[in-house]
Amino acid sequence: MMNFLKLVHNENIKIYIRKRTWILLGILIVLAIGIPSFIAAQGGGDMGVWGGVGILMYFNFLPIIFSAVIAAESVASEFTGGTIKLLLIRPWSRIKILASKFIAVLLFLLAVSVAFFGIGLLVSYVLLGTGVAGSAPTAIQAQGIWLSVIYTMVDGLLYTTIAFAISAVFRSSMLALALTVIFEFMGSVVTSLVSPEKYAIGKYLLFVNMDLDQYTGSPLGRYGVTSLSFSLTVLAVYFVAFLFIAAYVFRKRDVAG
Amino acid sequence: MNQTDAKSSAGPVVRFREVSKIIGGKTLVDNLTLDVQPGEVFGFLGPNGAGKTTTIRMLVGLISMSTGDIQICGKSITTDFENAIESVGAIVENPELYSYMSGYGNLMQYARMRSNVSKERIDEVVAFVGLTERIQDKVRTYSLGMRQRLGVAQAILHRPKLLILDEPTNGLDPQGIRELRDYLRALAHKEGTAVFVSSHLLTEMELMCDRVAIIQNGKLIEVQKVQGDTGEGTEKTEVEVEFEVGDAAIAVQKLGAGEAKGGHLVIRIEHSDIAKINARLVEAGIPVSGIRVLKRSLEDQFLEVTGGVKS
Ligand SMILES: Nc1ncnc2c1ncn2[C@@H]1O[C@H](COP(=O)(O)OP(=O)(O)OP(=O)(O)O)[C@@H](O)[C@H]1O
Ligand SMILES: [Mg+2]
Repeated sequence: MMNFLKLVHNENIKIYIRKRTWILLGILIVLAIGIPSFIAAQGGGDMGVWGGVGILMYFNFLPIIFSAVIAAESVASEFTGGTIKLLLIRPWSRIKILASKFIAVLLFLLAVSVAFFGIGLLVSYVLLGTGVAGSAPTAIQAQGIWLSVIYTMVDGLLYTTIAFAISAVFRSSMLALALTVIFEFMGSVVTSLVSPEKYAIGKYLLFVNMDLDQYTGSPLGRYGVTSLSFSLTVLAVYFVAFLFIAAYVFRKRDVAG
Repeated sequence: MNQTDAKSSAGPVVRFREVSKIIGGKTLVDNLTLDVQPGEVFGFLGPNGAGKTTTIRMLVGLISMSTGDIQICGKSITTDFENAIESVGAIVENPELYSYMSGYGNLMQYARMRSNVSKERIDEVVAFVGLTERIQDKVRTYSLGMRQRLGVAQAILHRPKLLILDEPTNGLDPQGIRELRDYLRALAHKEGTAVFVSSHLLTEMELMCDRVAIIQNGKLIEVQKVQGDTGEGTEKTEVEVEFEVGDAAIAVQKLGAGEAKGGHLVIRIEHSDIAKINARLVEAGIPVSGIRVLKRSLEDQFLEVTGGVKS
């Protein structure tokens, strides 16, 4: 176990030694500090901390995309750089190597979340305060924002896993990213074709169940046929399926050329 | 003394058994059966595209075998990968390292994946490959030869029982080649490491190796002992010899070996046994009017294989 953590440590080094990782993190930190500061400068002090974070949430696609970028690079860059050969001839099975990469990628998802939401929350609190003191909506607002943050991280987990799996299967980070984005757009197209309202099978589509924000204020979701627990189950199945395919292909693959 | 005991009692370090690789109907490696012993430098010689790298990729588990099996220290690379690869250090084709890390950073990556590599060992290996001055620089700034040296460093870091080097002299200067050759021979003969080196350069193989296998189109053509630069082994070289005798068929019968070809007796023996065979033939009442060594040297065979012309 101790030794497996060293593999994760290796993968962390590969992520954080690169300048571009810090550029991505830097962009998030600039937004997390900049947006509450801008609001405060505009005299929006009565918005309070939750109002500030609420506006920051409009940019929540950024940490998700950045996390997917790193995930797509993780396996693919070993192939494009040819370093995969020297990596796989160590006394570690391919599954363990892949697992160490996935864990490092999840830790990065955590890092972008902290950089974005954590810092955003802190700066909003300092600059915007708690808003109008003692007003009842604050508690409800706070709960909504927390749920939003958690839902964003669930989406982030899914997109990160999809990018990671595609890159492990196709060995190309560009393809992994392109497919992840196309997936996202195709999602709405497919959903409108196989509408969950008309076809029973529609409710099992990945995209019908993503964006859990659809359950804020409505227990039945966007199409009126899914519930939060149903969606979480479907997402869990997709999550496991993507990882399974990635592991299966990575384990069998001939590493040549 | 202990080392020689270990050498003789332990089995081969590598066992190829009927190994083939077929991709898209094309046979890249064809039914290869071969043993590599501890304490020997084993050369894998063949022209470009012969299947050397493909064989090495199977040996280290990077690609699967279509048929057959390879065992390293008695453990199958297919069914017991982690234990089999434990004893292996390797370079497969060009040593591609993390160019955005320093040489030292790269070695640390591989050191973390083993339990038996100390900081002192890393420094020792770095000094040995002559990279002490540049080891903190990014690999991106290294020359081809320096990358090759770093590749050798990562391969020997954990003192493997089997060291596999695919065209290791690629990009090395004459001094580097000489040092590597001396090192590999010392590693094999003093520490009992099995060294498996591939090359398409005959002269290099002759200087470096104890035995050389020639492969072409994925087929094993020949395994020969060669005379290392220690001078031993000349007389051990196996050769094909043609004896001119009156009746070849009777000669074969009397000897219980060899075959009759074009009216002559043709037999594969060690070079030192030519006189012995001659004596036995004469004793048996078969006069020998001429003796000719058919396959003289590794060079002849390699040239034959590569389509070169004998001088
Ligand atoms: N993935 C592949 N698919 C199909 N053919 C391949 C593949 N990889 C290698 N080959 C073919 O297999 C043959 C052997 O290639 P290999 O790289 O093993 O040769 P080599 O002996 O290492 O040659 P060199 O001295 O040039 O390094 C070549 O004809 C090559 O074209
Ligand atoms: Mg090759």
